[in-house]
Amino acid sequence: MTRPVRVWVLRLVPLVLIAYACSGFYFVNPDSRGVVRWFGRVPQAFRRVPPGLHYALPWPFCRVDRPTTTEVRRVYVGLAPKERAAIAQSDPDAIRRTLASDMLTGDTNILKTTMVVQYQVVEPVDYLFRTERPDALVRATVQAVLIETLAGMPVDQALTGGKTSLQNETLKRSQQRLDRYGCGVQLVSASIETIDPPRAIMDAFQDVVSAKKDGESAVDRAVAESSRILSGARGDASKKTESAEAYKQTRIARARGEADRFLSVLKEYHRDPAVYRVRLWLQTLEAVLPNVRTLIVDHKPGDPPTHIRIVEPSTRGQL
Amino acid sequence: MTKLVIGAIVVAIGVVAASCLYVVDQTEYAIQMRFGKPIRSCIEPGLYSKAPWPIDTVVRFDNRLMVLENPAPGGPDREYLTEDVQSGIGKNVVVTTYTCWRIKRQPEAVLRFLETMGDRASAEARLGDVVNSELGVALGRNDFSVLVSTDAKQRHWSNLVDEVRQKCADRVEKAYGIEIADVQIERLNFPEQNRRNVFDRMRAERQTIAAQYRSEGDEKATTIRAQANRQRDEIVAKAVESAERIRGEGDAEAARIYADAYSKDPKFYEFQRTLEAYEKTLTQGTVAILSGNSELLKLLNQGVASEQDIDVPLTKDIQPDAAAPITPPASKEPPS
Repeated sequence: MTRPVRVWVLRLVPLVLIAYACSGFYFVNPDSRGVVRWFGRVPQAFRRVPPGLHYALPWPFCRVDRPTTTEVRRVYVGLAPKERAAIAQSDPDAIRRTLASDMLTGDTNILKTTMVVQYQVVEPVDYLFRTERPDALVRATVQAVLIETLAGMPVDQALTGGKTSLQNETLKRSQQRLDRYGCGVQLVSASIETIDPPRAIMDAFQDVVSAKKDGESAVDRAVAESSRILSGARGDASKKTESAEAYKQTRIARARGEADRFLSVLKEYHRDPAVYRVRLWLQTLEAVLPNVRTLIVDHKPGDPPTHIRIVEPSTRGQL
Repeated sequence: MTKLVIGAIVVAIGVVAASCLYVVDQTEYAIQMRFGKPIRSCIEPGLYSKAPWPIDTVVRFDNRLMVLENPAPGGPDREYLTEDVQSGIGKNVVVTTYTCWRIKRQPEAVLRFLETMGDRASAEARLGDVVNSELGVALGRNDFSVLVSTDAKQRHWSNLVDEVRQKCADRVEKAYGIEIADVQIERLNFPEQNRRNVFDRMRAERQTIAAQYRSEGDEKATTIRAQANRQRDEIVAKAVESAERIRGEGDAEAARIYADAYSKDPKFYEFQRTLEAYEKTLTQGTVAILSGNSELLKLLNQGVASEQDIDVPLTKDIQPDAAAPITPPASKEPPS
């Protein structure tokens, strides 16, 4: 070794040592927690190192992991969005692959379901070191609970009102299981994104919906018609009573008028009944006889009956 | 040159010293072996010492909970036959399970695992076989409705998987040092060739339900219409009833008024009314035969002899010979 090289090496050594020592500094981001392993073991104080700048001895003494804890992770259970797209494009191979994600309902119907599960890491040490693939375990657990719950539910309930209870039940029981496995995650939500019958029989399910609407609209039409009938009937009824009322009033008014007329005439009559009677009699005959074919027969009391033959005019013209 | 030799020796000592230490991580178990024979099983993490290589070697195993999907994703489906108590023909089902397992946290268990399994791949293969056979036995003894049913009394899903888990644990725990945390059914489906039947049945069910909705709607609609018609008839009938009553009141009132008035002089009324009746009944076309002796023609026949004759005697009864209608009146007007 020549002298300049040796000097150069001797000067480099402290720099390397300093750089090695400095490699022990580490940052923990605000959304994470640090976990430090001293020779493979996590001391109590280093289970949740808060965000900021920290120091730990460099390799091989310490190892630092920084899992994110505030981030909400999501995982799809059942039919993945990509598979849904493949079904929409009716790619037969893709559809065959999605058969695995079919789920059975309690009344042995097949449903295609996608559930979105959101979860957070709450125990960094458990999350990192207790399970090998915590995210896969979360997915498998939720899927198992979901199919178990769905297998006790009728298809109509699952498609309509039962969604909420399906979600709540799945969330609750999945969390219990994950706690038992000790993988340090907390489920935030489990929501059913889609729950559909298979495409091959979608039309039959849609027909049920339209049948329901048909039934309702038949009832609506009948209700409308019946209100039309009833209002017509009420109108009819009031027409009848009103016209009866009119008849009554007319009748009374006329009776009053005629009665008054009679009384007035009667008053006049009483002044000289004989004259009045004759006048009235003759007046009437005057009015009546011009319209009447009059035959005058001279017939005295005691005479034999007179025979009169009247030949009815067969035609109007002779009259 | 001597410095170079010294340097080499220092490095060699360093390497040997380093190989005298080993770290067992939080996620590992380690077995220290001397010439291939296990001498120490470390289940706690930390720093351990050993004789330098090649005297002592260390084998490490993952101690975390592992998830074994069976069959593996993308692999061929595995069919099982369930028993049907009633028909005797069981249903074929395709089942995927996941098994959570780990090597037991006991030094002996780790050694046992090393001796019987050696590595993870063979452990998972063995475990898969055990789970398959136990699941096959459990499903073969149970009706399909134990898994899938809307009747909560029939369904014993958790019991069935617990039983499978217990059986599997019995078989692998002592034998291989493996702890089974859970066995669960992750997918349950019908084989592809049976799906056509399921679809047909589902379609038939839907059609029944749709027909039911429609006929129920029609039924309700018919009922509503019938009720409306009935109510209409009731309303109209009530209206007719009250209309007739009102008319009757009118008639009664009018009759009373007439009676009040005419009772003042019934004779005169009769006289007046009779004359009115003549006017109405003796219309065009009527032939009236008058006697020459009639009061009307008295003056015509006899002339006026004396003033006494002017006094046309008006009998009380003026009708009989005055006029006798031959033809009936064209229309019978009620007296009004």
